[in-house]
Amino acid sequence: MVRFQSVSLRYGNRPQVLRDVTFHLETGSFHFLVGPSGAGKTSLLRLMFLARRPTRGAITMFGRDLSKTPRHELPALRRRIGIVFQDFRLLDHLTVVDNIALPLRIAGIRDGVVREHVTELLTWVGLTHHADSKPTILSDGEKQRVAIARAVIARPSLLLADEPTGNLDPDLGLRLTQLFAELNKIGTTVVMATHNESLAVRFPFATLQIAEGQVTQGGRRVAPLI
Amino acid sequence: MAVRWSLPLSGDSTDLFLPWIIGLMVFMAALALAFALGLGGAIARWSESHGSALTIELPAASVAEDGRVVAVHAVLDDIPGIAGAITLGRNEALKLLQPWLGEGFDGGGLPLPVLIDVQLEPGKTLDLEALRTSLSAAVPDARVESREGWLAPLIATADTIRTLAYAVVALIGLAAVATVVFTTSTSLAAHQDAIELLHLTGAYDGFIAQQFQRQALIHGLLGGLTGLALAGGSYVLVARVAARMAAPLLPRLSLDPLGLAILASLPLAAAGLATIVARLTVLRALSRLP
Ligand SMILES: Nc1ncnc2c1ncn2[C@@H]1O[C@H](COP(=O)(O)OP(=O)(O)OP(=O)(O)O)[C@@H](O)[C@H]1O
Ligand SMILES: [Mg+2]
Repeated sequence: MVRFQSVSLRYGNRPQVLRDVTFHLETGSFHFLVGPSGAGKTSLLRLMFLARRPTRGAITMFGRDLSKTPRHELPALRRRIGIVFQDFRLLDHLTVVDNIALPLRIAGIRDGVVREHVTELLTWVGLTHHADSKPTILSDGEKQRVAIARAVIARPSLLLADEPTGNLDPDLGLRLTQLFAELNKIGTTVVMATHNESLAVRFPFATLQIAEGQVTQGGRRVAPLI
Repeated sequence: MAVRWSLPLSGDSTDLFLPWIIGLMVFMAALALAFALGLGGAIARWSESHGSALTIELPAASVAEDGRVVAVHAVLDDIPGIAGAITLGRNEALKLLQPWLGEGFDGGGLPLPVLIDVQLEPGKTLDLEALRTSLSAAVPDARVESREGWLAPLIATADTIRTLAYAVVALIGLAAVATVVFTTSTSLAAHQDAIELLHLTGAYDGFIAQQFQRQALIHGLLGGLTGLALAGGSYVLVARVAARMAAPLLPRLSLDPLGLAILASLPLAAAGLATIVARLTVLRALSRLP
């Protein structure tokens, strides 16, 4: 699904954020992306959601070598990726419903189908009463749930979530991570950056540990304690 | 349709700015273009009256028929290269003045000079000096008017002015392009985050550009129609003042239907130009995203 080969990344003339990173995420896998603040979790995810090109090295996604993929073919790849941004990135001029519907609308899906999916997801993230609110009046936790709903609505084959539970209470955080786990069960490959160690240990998923520009892939953990 | 709403463009500051600036430009372009087209018409009329090469003019005399006409014809008969000469009656003389004085001009009882229109034999050159010498010997107050002598420079001058007017129109067009590039870039910067989100969600560049194009089209049409209305208003105003002045000596700058159609299509041209420029500006900016 995702293969990094000797990938390096630096912003301008600053020190390298990623140094000669190599790893492979199998289709259908679930990884927690962990590491201290500023280690490069968001940067790594940016490479995966095609917001940046690496300074050096090769990235293969969906079996395509990105450096050899013409630019006009990238939107089709991006439509297979769901993203939960660390800073939400909701469009403030649109209602909650329209924010969630955005990926489907961009993909040109019919209105009827869109409405059906949005209604289902609104219930899922518990925001039916805010359907027609603008994001500006939502709490951070509510915004985060809108962002999550938007990321999964188009049934992406790769879900990249950057601290998706950072603003949620432990219960809700757990519930939404379980949701990701369910999506993973039906075939979605998931990478979820998190600081929340106690949440991560509850799930039997592998880790990508990032520190000092290096990425180490950890094996599956032991089943959760509950 | 997502195209309508995924960027909040209609709340932009350019919303007010662009239609007015385009309106002003279309207004100025319409005036310059109307002037150029009208001048073109005048040049065409002048060129038509260019038909015969020579006119011999006898100052108006109190006696209508005099011996001078006979004497002139006698001289002309002896000059080689002349095919024929016709003495114009008063009505024909008036007709010649029409391109200059307007169709309604009836001479107003003015004494008109006697005009003798001289046709040259095609392909032959006339010895103008010999003709002048013989004529002035026979009829001292006869004047030989070679049209080339004064009409050609006039036409050339008018032509230059017309070219300048077209250049003004072209410059206004360039300024309009620059304005649309500027406002589109400003708008792009203001919505950078939303654009990146659309981009990362898998929107094609064309999808994003479409929203800016639509906005530019609306602004262009709005501004163009405003500008054209202003220009039309000014034209009516000037025409009224001119009518009150009754200044028939000014060359008339009337427009033919084609000219009017060209002017009427200015708002469309402005809207089309704005749309294309907005699209290209957005596409160029987006091409910097991976
Ligand atoms: N656009 C950028 N330009 C320059 N430097 C950047 C940029 N984005 C990130 N960095 C730098 O890269 C390093 C890694 O940042 P990144 O956001 O990837 O860390 P992170 O692991 O996501 O941190 P956090 O856990 O706080 O979200 C930081 O030192 C940061 O300053
Ligand atoms: Mg981060």
